[in-house]
Amino acid sequence: MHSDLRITCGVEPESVAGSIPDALAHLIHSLSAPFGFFTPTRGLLDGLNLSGGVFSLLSDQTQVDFASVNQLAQAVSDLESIHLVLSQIDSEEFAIWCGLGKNEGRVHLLDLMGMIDRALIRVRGAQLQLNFAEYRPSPKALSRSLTQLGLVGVGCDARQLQRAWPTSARKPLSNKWKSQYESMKVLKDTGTLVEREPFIFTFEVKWKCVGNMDLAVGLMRNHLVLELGGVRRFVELPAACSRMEPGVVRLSKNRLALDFTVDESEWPRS
Amino acid sequence: MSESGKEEAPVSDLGSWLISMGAPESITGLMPSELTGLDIAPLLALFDGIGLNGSGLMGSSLIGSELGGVGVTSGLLDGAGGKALTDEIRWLPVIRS
Repeated sequence: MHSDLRITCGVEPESVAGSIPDALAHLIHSLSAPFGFFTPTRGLLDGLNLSGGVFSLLSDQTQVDFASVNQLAQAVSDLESIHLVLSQIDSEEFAIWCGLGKNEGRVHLLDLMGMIDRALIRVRGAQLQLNFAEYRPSPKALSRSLTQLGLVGVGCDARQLQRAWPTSARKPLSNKWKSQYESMKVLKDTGTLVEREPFIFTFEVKWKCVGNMDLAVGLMRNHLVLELGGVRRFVELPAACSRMEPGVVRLSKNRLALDFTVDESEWPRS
Repeated sequence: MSESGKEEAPVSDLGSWLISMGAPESITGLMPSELTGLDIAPLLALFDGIGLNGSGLMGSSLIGSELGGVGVTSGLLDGAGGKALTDEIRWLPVIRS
């Protein structure tokens, strides 16, 4: 599904938002620390760079420019991290708190979460235009950036990429790289929990070529965290996973699998 | 009361609070209005009640508060039924096949 958003990567934005990279993280930490139910997962807000396009993605503009593919991937990742922190704030206790105080805090919170939801849908449906006029990364670096972009759910048209690649300087793209760019896929799978044997379940996520990636995998409350060079994607886990013990992650060519073991004493079966 | 004789408006939104904590006024132009307009009055009221200021918030422990006669105790439940202050991303070992 396409959105009305056009994104250019490789063009320095005309006006760069002011630099407040830590402001929002501090602010959310400040808001959250006094309450247990506000406490965001540690590490979730680390490394956010909010001057790097997050606000552009939240705007209503129909044309957004990013200096590089990596910067776009990082901005989408940061936006999703903020959304998760906000969703952690939005607890039952917070709703009661706001209700008792006749306060609009939760309404504003939900508005902001809705705004981020819409921005994520919009950027994932955007038409992406690559521009290498000012700066051309190495094919390998570009491959890594495009993989990061695929991780956060944004696709890139390989034919447009090949047309944008300057042939005048040095050498044109080799068939090897063309083939690699064409084979890149966006991560769309939301994962499936399957029972392999009694008391052992496997959560599987399918993503083409995931086995070749230098992917870090973690757990954060009810989400699986996939991280590639600082760019993160969060995959929601079935509720049952929170009561099971995770094992190792197995990466095969096109599949990621994480085993969960049921503690029999905690979940007795009749 | 301020020197001008006008009563100062209470800080209730995030943008005003940040500025009152020393942030430059331009911060409101750098953040989405939905965020700067976030109503943090209940949080500030709670801070007043427990004697914390903005700089003292980091690392504070679990807090129970009274609001409208109703006790609100918050926190994350740990496996033993107690409360944990925070959690963190748990990175897992990866095996490639």
